[in-house]
Parts: sequence; structure tokens; C-alpha cells
Amino acid sequence: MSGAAGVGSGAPIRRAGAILLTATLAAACASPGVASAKRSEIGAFAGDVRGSCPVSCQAVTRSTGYQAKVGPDRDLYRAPADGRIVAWSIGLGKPGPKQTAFFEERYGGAAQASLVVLDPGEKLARTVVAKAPVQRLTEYFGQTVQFPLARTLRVRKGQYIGLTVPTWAPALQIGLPSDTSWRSSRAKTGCLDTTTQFALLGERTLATFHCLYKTARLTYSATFISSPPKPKAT
Amino acid sequence: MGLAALTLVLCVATAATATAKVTEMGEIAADVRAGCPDQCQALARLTGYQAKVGPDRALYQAPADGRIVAWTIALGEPNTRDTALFQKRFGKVSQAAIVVLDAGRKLSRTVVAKAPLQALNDYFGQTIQFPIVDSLPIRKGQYVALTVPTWAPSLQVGLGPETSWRSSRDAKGCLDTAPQFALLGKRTNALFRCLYKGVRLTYSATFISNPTPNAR
Repeated sequence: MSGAAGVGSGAPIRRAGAILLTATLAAACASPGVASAKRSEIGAFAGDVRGSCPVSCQAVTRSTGYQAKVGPDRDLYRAPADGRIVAWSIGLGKPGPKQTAFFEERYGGAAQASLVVLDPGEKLARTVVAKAPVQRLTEYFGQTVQFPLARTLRVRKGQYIGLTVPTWAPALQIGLPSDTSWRSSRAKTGCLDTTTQFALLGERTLATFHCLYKTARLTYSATFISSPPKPKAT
Repeated sequence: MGLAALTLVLCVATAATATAKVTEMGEIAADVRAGCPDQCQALARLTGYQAKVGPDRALYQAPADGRIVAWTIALGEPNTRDTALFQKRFGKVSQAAIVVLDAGRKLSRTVVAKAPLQALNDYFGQTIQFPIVDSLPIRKGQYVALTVPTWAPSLQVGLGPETSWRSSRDAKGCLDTAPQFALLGKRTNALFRCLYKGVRLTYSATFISNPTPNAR
């Protein structure tokens, strides 16, 4: 069979055995090719960026963090528009067996993380307004792994994308210039306290992100799709 | 830094493997748009999927297990007269949704997941992407299709005969635009015997494969 078998608004035309209903009115000019809504990677990192393990093995532990700066860029982890987070990625180091045992013993078991959306308040206050399920990471050490979300996360322009780590995660790139830094939900008086649980979990959704760590990068990103523009009022 | 540091330094470099990736199933070039207003045709009251684009038969089949997280449609811009006639015949609101079809025997296809219907009138003339709140699970080999319960100006016409799409219409009524053949509600299965050559449905789906754990 040939033809579109779609329907047009004009008179039927029989062509090659098919009825094509084509509009006889041709517009004077073609439609402008406007593209609305698009996909982008918030906090995109190069393919070879990964947590530092096994060499100089460090991990994020028991906290929620977000990347505050990468070089001069302060907005890399902020939503550029209203939209949805449809997946998240994490570049995981590959700790050796001894390293893995060390972290598991001290920080509550298997490596885990999830993505969260943080709404900024006054003076570094951040509130979790959406969160993805916690993912076990052990099976993906050494990979940059992407997790599609069954329920995608709503995000508004300017909100931050953070990483919640209830146990530990080998997702730190270290030894970077001092204009690259991340912030954590740890108490201001305990920025180096790695044992207390500061991750924003359960009913704990608010923290002040005073703690700033320079020369390191959290190796995560989020796949973002902007919402289509609101229809014009008629 | 408030980091848990381990002093063990190993000399083995980490293999840089990347798993799971975002791909656009049925990606449409930026300048592809449905025929309206010049050659204005629309899909009406059916579910359809692109069977071939040139020699490629697998463009709308999932390459692996994963999820559909968004879908895109390149809409023509029917003029006022065309719009009025489509509305009179098929309904006031142009609508479509993406669905996942499981392939059975002899062109039998069953809807196994579906996104909410989207009203399209406000986006005519645009290529518009809709993120999906509850993303759709899809298995390798399943098809991504477009369900149109009313009408949608999303047909690119005048292509070569090796480009073709299939619809859920009854085999005896492949050109019958009046009955409702869209897979909606409890109607989830149809035989996709109707093949239409020289035409492309202007939709695509954003697919993310499930992650692959390391081999033990």
C-alpha cells in the first residue's frame, strides 16, 4: 500500500490505490522550525572522570553534598529551567577489597547513594524537595553508571541537584584546583566528622550547607529535560 | 577536607567503563516536521509505529532493557481551515501519547506501557519534548509507538517507498479514518497489518538502558 493513510482536510485524491486526503491550500510560507524543551546533563563530566579509588582512595560518607563550583562555574548543578530529572549518573572509583572492607566496616555497610533536589533558602539553607530511590553501588565500582528513574523528579529553575550518601560512595575526584569545591550537609562545627550521620534522609530534609571542601569534585550528574512551555492563554 | 581517606595506595588503574546511556529512538533531524500546512495530513484515531526508515527496521525497537523517560513529536502547523476540518471530523483537541508495544506473532502487538495523553494544539509548528513523570519500562525488542485518539499533524509525506509505518487499523479498513482504532483503555492488542509507504511518523522516544553490574 502506498500513501500516508493519514487524513487531510481537503478533497479526497486517489493516488496509487490509496486515498490521500490532502489539503489543497498551501500556505505561503513554511512553519518556523522551533524546538521546545530539550535534554541536558546537569554537572556533565568527562568520560574519564571517576572517583579516585583505588589510588588515593577517598569516599563521600554519611552526608548530602552538592558541587558548588567547578572552576569558575557556580551554576553547573543548578537547574537551568523548570523541568524533570529523568536519570542520574555517578562516576565510581574502584576500591580494592581491603579498601572496601575498611569503608563498609566504618560507614554502615555497602556503598549507596541517591540523587536529591535541593531548594535553596537563606544563607546556605537547603531543603530536599524531591529524591530518587537509594541505589546500591557496589556492583558498579569502576564504572560511570547511569540510573534511569521510574518516577522522574520535578525540579524548578535554580534548584540544586545534590547527592545523598547514607553510607559511603567512592565518588570523589581529588587534587583539583582550589576553585573547584563542594558543600556538605555536615554541621558547621563538624565539617571533618565523617562518622556522624548527616545525610538528608527520611524526615530530615533541611540542613545548612556551611561546610565547603576545596580541590575535590563529586563525580555525579543528572539528566534533565525542561518542561514544555506553558500553552498560551486563549 | 571532610573525607574518609584510606592510605592504601594501589598501583592498578581503574578500567574506565561506562554503562547505560541516553539514546533517542527514532531520532528525527531538526528540520523534519509534519507536512502541514503545505501538504496537510494528519494521523487520526489509531496507534501507529514506524516500521522502516530507509533500510533500518529497528529504529523504533528498544536496543536493550531500559526505560523511556521522555518523548518528542515534530508537529506541523495546520492553517485555520485545516484545523477546523480536522476538529470537526476527529475532535477539538489534537492529542497523542507514546506507548510501548510488545511484539507477538504475525504483527500482533500489545500495549504494555503508556504515557499520559498530551494536548498538542498549543505546540503546532514546534518540535516538542515531553518528559514523562512515571517513565515507561521497556524490554529489548519492544516497539515505541504513537497513540492518537483524535488527530495529530505528525506525518512527513513524500518519502521513498522504503520508509513505511504500520497502524492498528483493521486490515480491511486501512484507509478508514472514521472508526476508533487507537489502543486505548482496555483495548490493548491489535494486528498491525496495515502498512503505509512513503511516509514517516514524526516522533521519537528518549531511552535510557538499565545499568549493567560488573561481572562477578
